Amino acid sequence: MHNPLAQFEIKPLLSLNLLGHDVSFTNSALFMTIAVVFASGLMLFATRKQELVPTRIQMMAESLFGMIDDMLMQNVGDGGKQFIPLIFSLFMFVLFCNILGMIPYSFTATSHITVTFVLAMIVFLTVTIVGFVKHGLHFFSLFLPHGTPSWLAPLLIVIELVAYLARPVSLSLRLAANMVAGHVLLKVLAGFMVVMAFYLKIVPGPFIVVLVGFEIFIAILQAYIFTILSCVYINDAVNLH
Amino acid sequence: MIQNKSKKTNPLNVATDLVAGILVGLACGFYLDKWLQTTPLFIIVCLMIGIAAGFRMIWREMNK
Repeated sequence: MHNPLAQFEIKPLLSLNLLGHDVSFTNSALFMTIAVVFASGLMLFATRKQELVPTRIQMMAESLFGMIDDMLMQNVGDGGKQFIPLIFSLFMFVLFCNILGMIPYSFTATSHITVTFVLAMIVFLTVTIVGFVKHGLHFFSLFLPHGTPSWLAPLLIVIELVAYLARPVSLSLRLAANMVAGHVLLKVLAGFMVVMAFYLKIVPGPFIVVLVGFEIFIAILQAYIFTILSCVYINDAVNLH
Repeated sequence: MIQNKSKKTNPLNVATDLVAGILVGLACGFYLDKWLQTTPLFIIVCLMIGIAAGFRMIWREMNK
């Protein structure tokens, strides 16, 4: 029987060794490279000739940029413009990694918690460092919301601190879990199609078709959710809610 | 029509908030215990704080 988790194995494609550490070029690295090449290629190709009346592909790049710009404007306000490169790169990378995983026989790079945890830590460390640089020690007032009774304050500060530290974990875990769940479900249903009796073989077919469509939607939605939660965290740091 | 599948209605996202709070609470408790040699006290206390933090994250998400 096919193992539904075998699709997430990391296979080294080109074994390299740097001072005793294994830095081989794996299939995960290959798909991340393809995602970066596609994302930057799309943006570079779309902005080659900047016409006043945009062509279709220029319109696509402009609307993507406009969406990220609006997201930062709505969530952060005027201090958000400096974060557009970070948020835009994150969004494009996660989006392309998720969508490339929907191609048959490919590998979803964002299904591994190592990849998503690094992305979430980039956001978390950026937000924390920006918060400290901008507000100094006043940054800790983030952990004490308005109007809490003073007997509740110490416990609430501890809980808020743990909730703040849990943000990168939840950000990374959400993306990885959604990707893993979707792909494992598809593999399990496909395994049913292989194993079932002759007259029942065709039954999981429509379900798989519907699930592939749903998975593509979830891929785009999870990229959007990752980005908008990063914008919310940036807002928490820049304007101390 | 696209509002129906907003981020609030996906239960997997809500569940990962709770799980993340619990995991961070457990990790904090475990490493505090290893550092201060007080076995299971900090694990239990930080686990409860982690559960509370997870619920607080969900509450804040639902009330947005």
